Order: sequence, then structure tokens, then C-alpha cells
Amino acid sequence: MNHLHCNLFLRDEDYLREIQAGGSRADIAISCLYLKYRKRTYSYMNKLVSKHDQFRGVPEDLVHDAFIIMLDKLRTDTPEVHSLGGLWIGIGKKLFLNQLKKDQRTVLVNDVEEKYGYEEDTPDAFIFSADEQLRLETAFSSMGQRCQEILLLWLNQYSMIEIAQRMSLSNDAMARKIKFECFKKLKELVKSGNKTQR
Amino acid sequence: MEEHTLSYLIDQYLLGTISPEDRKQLEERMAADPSFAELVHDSKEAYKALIHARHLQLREKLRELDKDDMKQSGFAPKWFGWFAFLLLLLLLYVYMAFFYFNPSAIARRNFIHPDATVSSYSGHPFQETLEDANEAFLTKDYQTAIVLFESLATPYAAQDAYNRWHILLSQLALEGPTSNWKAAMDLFLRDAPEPYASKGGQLTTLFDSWMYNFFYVRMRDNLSAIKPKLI
Repeated sequence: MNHLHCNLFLRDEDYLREIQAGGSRADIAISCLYLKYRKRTYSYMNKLVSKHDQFRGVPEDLVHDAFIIMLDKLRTDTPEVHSLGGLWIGIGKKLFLNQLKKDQRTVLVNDVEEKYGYEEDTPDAFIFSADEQLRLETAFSSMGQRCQEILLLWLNQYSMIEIAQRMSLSNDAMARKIKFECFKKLKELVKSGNKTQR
Repeated sequence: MEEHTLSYLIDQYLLGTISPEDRKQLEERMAADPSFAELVHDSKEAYKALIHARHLQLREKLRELDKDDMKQSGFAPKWFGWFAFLLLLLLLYVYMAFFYFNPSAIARRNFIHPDATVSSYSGHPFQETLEDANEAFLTKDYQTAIVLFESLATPYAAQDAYNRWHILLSQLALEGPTSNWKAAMDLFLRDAPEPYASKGGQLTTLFDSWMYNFFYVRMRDNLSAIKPKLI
């Protein structure tokens, strides 16, 4: 990570293209994009948080959560974005306002419900409940290190050839087979976890 | 369909990279075959676990990036860069002011081109000497300039004032505003025509100003005290 050399002249469209391409290209682009707009976003969030004493969170979490949500958005959709830095700050601001609303704990009768984009306060809460998060985490951590690694690489859209190279496997067919078995195992673990909970 | 082919289709479906035709095929099969629908459902659940794990991994990565960036930029406080920049700017300003108030620079700034003031007095040898004197002055050969301007004695008041003005400027460039020079300038200004009178007035005011004393006299003294130590 210390030897990360980011091209300073990359534009937002280039980052977007690289992130959507997946694999190692996306990994580098994500780090570079984060470093490019990090200071600006931190500075904005720090200012925002310092102005509201009622807010109980920390700017660091806001910055990270907003970045993760933005990445999920960029990976799945093809949003029309003028500035990725602006999008990041925008998401962070929405998360902040939602969290602030919860922290203030003021319930006004017949008050109009305001919603700022994402209703939850973290990217995982955006998708999963707290119990579900714990269950999923337990299922995933029950798997071996190798399985975890191969599945995360697959999720990050590394090609099977790249996975084979990275994990020192004989070829892409072997990588595909291991991934298949690992995913099968994860399905069983999640399923058994669901049954236990019921 | 073979298990691996189905698995590949489900993978594409989960990753969102499935083609519309395959997606339609998959959804039709899910509707027709409950056991297949369950398989897809299980895969979606497992996929959620993966997404959650990726978020955790990414959060860890962002923390590491923060740490690295802090290490790189945390060497000096944020204000240090601005402070150093302003200090440099101040030093540059003082340095430039020192040269701006240097008597030689002041003399050259007050040089008056002969075309602007001296009108008709001509004659080939006179003109040549005048050009030489001007050139000597502009090339900072003030001793020669003084000699040449002194040799241009003339009954024409305008030309005479021009010569005397440039002799005074040359003396200023060589020795600075000494008391003798100031006395000579006062004497010159009593009957000097324009633009020498106003320019002379500005010069005497300048040499009495705190800016000249601060940026040139004090700096020169301090620098001459530091110079031997530095050497």
C-alpha cells in the first residue's frame, strides 16, 4: 500500500471505468480515488460534525461508510456523475443527517417525515439488519482463510486466471472448481445459520 | 442444464453481469422449478454474506490508507507549510526591497532620456560624447559617466541641468546619499527646471523615509555584519 503510485491526471470517468472493470484494476482505482478526495471529504465531514453537538458518531465512519456506499452504487449502476468527490460528500451528508435525526431523538407529533436518500446509517445497515450482519459474519468467518480469499476475489470480479495466479493455483479451471466448492460451503453455512436462528 | 453451467448463470445473476436473455431463462426456470428457486435464494443469501465481508475488508483497507496518508502528510503540522510559504514570501519581499532601495538602482530608475528634455543643442562631437556618457551611465560605469557629463559644459540651461542631474545620479550610485551629495542636490534643486525639480524632491524625500532606512540602511549594515561570519 505504501508503494501505491496514483496517476494524478486521471479523471473521474477513468476511475469509474476502472472500478466497473473489476479485478486488480478496480482495486488500484479504488485506493487512488479514495486518496484523491479523502482530505476534502474529511474536512467537510469534520466541519459538519463540529457544528452539531448532538451527533454521536465520528467523521471517520461517515467518510468510510459514504465511500463504501458510493462504490456499491458505482459497481451496480451507471450513474450520471459530474464529480465523484461531490457524490461522496453528498452521500456522507445524507448519512450524517439521517444519523443526526436518530441521535436528536426528538419525536414531533404529526411532523413530516424527512428522508435523505439512504435511510440507514451504515452501508451494511442499508442492506442487512444487525442480527443478519452477525449471522452472515459468523457464516463467513467459519470458512477457511483460502475460501474467504477466493470468494472475495471472485466478488471483486477478478478473472479466474488472475485468481489462479494470485493464489498460486495450477490453472483457472482449478480456481473455478475451488470457488465453486467454497461458495457451496458458504451457502450451506448461511442456510444452517438461518435454520438455527429460526 | 449441468450443475456448473447453472452455477455459472447464478454467479452472473448475482454479480449483475448476466445477459438479458440468460436472465429471462433463469427467471423462467425459477418460476417453474421450486428446488431451483431455492438454490438461487440460497445463493443470494450467501452472496449477502460475501458483500458484508467485502464491506468489512474495504473498511479495513480504508483505515490502512488513512494511516499511510497520515504518515506521509503527518511529518509536519498542516500550518507549517503555509508558515514556511509566508516566511519565504516575506524574505523574498525584503530581498527585493533591498535591491529596490539600492542607490544604484534608484539612480538608474531616475535616469532621464535626453530626447525628453534636451531639445536642439547638437553638433557631432557633442552628440557623440552625450551618447557615450549615457551609455556609460546605463552600463553602470559611473566614474566614466561623471567625467563625460562634466566634459559636456554648455551654455544651454536645459542641457546643463541634464548634465548636472546625471552627475548627481552617478555620484549617488557610487557613494550613496552622503551629506555632501545631499548638499549638492539641494543646491541643484534651487534653480532646477522640470522634471529635475520634482524628481529631485522625490529623491530627497525617499532618502529621509523609514522605508529606505529600514530596507536598505539597516539591512546593509546587518548584512555586512553577518557576511564575515558566514564566510
